Formats: sequence, structure tokens, C-alpha cells
Amino acid sequence: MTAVHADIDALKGLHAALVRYRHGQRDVAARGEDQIRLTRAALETRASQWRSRLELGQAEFAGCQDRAAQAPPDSPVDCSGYARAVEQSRERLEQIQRWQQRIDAEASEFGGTAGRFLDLLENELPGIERQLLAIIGSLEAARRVRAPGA
Amino acid sequence: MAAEHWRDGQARQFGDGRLAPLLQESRGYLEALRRLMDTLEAAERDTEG
Repeated sequence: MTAVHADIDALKGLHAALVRYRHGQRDVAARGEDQIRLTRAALETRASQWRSRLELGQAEFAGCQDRAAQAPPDSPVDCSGYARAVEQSRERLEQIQRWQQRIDAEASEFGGTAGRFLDLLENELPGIERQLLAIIGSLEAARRVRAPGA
Repeated sequence: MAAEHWRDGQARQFGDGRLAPLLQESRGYLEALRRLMDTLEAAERDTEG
């Protein structure tokens, strides 16, 4: 290709870049969706684990309280360790639930932005690529240039 | 002639009318994605253990 056709070459380069960009952005979007799914699953697993620990701790605390109620006055039963464990489990569970709520809210907000962009990517960008090919074709026709792949 | 027409009219129309909105939306999308990824990372870190 001679220098006089450098503009056509540049347009072909732009077209190829747009195609790569469309595929690349699709991959980015898919990886983003995967990451949202993975984090939600991880948080749900952790919430489930802490829920189980909380239930177990509550049962142990209740058992301790029963023993304390039946214990003679001269040998009291100390249940404060069980109470602390229950409180810690409850705090951890609530912390995870707050993150879950925040992620739900932010993922929902992100969904609006992502939806608009992906709509452009799937519906607008192919039209832009076609328009560019038509421009390249008209330039080549005007110069009687035969170019492969255009 | 075709090249001049492209440079003078079509290029501007193509760049401003078609590419610029796409790139603007793309920047907004990538920035929103980065913020969300930061939140996901912080959530994973903060709820470990």
C-alpha cells in the first residue's frame, strides 16, 4: 500500500480496533458479572456459617443458663463466655448482612449503567463498524483501490 | 474528492456523532465497574475469617 492510501489504512486500523474493543468490552462485562456472582456467593457462605455458629452459641448459652438456674448458690455457673460468643457471632453476621445489602444496592445501581453501555455495544457499535466499512469502500472505489478484507 | 469529503464532513460527523457518545458511555461504565469492584474487594476482605 502506498503512502497516498495511508488514510484508508488508518480507517481499516480503526475498524479493526473497534471490533477488538467490542469483543474486549464484552469480556470485561462478563468478568465483572462473574465477580459480582462470586462475591455474593462467598458472602452468602460466610453468612450461613456465622448463622450456624450463632444458633449453636445460643443453644449453648441457653443450656448454660439452665445449669446456672439449677446450680446451688455456693457454686454458681458463669455463662458470660457463652454470652460473649453469641454477641460476637451476632455482630459478625450483621456485618456480613450489611455488606450484602450494600452490594445489592451498588450492583443494582451499576446494572443501569452497564445496561446502557452493553446496549450500545451490541446495537450501536456494529452499526458504527458497518458505517466505517462503507466509508472505506467509498474511498477505495473513488481511488480505484482494491483492498483485501474491506 | 472523496478523501476531502471524508476529512471535512464525514470524519467530524463520525467522530462527534457516533464515536464520542460510545466512548463517553464506555468511560462511565468502566468507572462504575471499578467502583463496584472496589466494593466487592472490600466486602471480601472485611468479612474474611
